[in-house]
Amino acid sequence: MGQFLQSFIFVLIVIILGCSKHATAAQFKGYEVKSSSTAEFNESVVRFIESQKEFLILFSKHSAFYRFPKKQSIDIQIRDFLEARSKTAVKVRVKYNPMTAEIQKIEDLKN
Amino acid sequence: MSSNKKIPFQFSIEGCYARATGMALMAEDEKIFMGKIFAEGNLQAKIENSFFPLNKWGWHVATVVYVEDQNKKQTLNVFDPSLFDHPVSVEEWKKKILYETKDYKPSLTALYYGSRYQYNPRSHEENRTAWDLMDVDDAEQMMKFMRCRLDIADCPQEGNPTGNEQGEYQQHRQRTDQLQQFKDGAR
Repeated sequence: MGQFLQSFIFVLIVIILGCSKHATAAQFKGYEVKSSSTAEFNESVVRFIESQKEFLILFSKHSAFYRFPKKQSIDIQIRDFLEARSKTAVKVRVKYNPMTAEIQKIEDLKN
Repeated sequence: MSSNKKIPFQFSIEGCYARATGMALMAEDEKIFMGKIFAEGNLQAKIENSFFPLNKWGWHVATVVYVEDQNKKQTLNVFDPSLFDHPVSVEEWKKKILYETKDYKPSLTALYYGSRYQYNPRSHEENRTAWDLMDVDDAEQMMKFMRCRLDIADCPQEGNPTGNEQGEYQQHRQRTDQLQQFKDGAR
């Protein structure tokens, strides 16, 4: 009985961890970077790469790599979010500075 | 062509697809039929004395045309006024978009040619055999947006949701998305 309970708790923890990772990707809203110039588009994530300082993201219908500055506290969330979105054609809302291609905010359209 | 203010060549950070289409249309009016050269990968170009000295792209496109010299020898020239003030060879163009820095090693995954009608790279869209009015409209709107950002054209006041160029551009994108969905549904 004790062994069964142990296995049950272990499975429960694995499920909770799996769900929370999924929720993190779905609910990620980025962070606001204040800038004098802002533009916005809704496009899907085609692919992304990482440099030491930033995530470089390619969106549909655009040729530039848009830059998302790294911030240790949310890097894992951003990576999860981008990995999940680059596997689908679902569009995300991107607020950015058109003169630097720096992303100020990235979020799911439904949020 | 490079001095043409309608095509915002200085806005090198984005919109090469719009500028290349603008150039191809302009050349077509002069009975010059250009092709396009596409590069895909992790690209980077350094541009001296520019608003955007270092540009990172996931892909890049420019126009190409065969040019005949005095000895009747024909060579393929790339016309990319955002990067060069003169036509260049494909090799020179390739070298320019693979500019390496300490923290960024560029790479090229594909280099190929397309017709003047091709708007996006082949990994994003099917082959075009004629002008698609949605592409031409998109190029016009994108160039308008870039001109506004560079202060080449008058940029209506920000904050007016129906009057500013950014608002117009977003509306245009939504409209083209709806048209695309309609076209996809009709297939």
